[in-house]
Amino acid sequence: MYALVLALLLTLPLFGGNTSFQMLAVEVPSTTSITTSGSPPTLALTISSSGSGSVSNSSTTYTVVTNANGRNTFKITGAITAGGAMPNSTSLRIRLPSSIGISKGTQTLSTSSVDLVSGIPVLGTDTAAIVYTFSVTNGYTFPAQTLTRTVTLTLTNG
Amino acid sequence: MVSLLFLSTLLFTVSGSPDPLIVRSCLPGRAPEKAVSATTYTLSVPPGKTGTVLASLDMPTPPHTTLKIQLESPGKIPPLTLTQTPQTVASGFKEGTHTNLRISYEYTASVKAGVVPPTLRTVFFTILD
Repeated sequence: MYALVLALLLTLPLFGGNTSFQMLAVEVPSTTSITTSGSPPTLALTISSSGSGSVSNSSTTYTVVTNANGRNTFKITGAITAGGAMPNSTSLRIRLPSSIGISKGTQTLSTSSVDLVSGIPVLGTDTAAIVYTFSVTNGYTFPAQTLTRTVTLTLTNG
Repeated sequence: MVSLLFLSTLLFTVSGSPDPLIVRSCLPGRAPEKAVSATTYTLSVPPGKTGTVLASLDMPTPPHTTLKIQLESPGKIPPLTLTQTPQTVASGFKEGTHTNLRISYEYTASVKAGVVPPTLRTVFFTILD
């Protein structure tokens, strides 16, 4: 004769419900950056009878995003970083409009950095055109040629 | 001897904590993008009962950031922004064990959020009949 023993384990509800939890880690790292939409087309100019000429292009844009902490502002500087200084009797100028900072207006580019926009806040985003102007004077003093320069825009504290 | 376990209460388990939600990418001209992560959960509903899940945070997310949650459930509740107030995030469960259901998290930040260092938040789940 076997005795079949049934053991019933009855679990009682705890306060009519159940709880659980998950822990999440959230983070927003610094994404402060400056980017450009690409390189402009060739700035081709025809010199006048006096040997001078100027051509502008504003087909490219720059975008700056800042999400830093603290109270410092940012600035944008520009410089020719490849190809060397502009030849005599030529100049390459640049202007960066800005709706969140203070534009320094048209500046002549060289192999030394020049401020283009100042007072950019630590939290902000802006997209604006890059205005390049290539100018020649005394154009009959050098042969026709294509000049290639690399312009670097840098976003930095300041 | 035969042992029987008679379940009379709802049981809710999660598969673990999700991967860190880190808002990384920043497209030109746009605010930082969102970060997403997901885990799963299992809900056991005894006979004669139904299941509803509420969720809440232990504290608010950092300023100018939001944390949304969505649980897969028969009630098909859309993503909700988590707050310290419990909100229904899953409903419509009937008797049975419902396994490997998705918990989706979405963390977003505007440019105004600034840099947010790694920060922990706890999501509390309350299961009701």
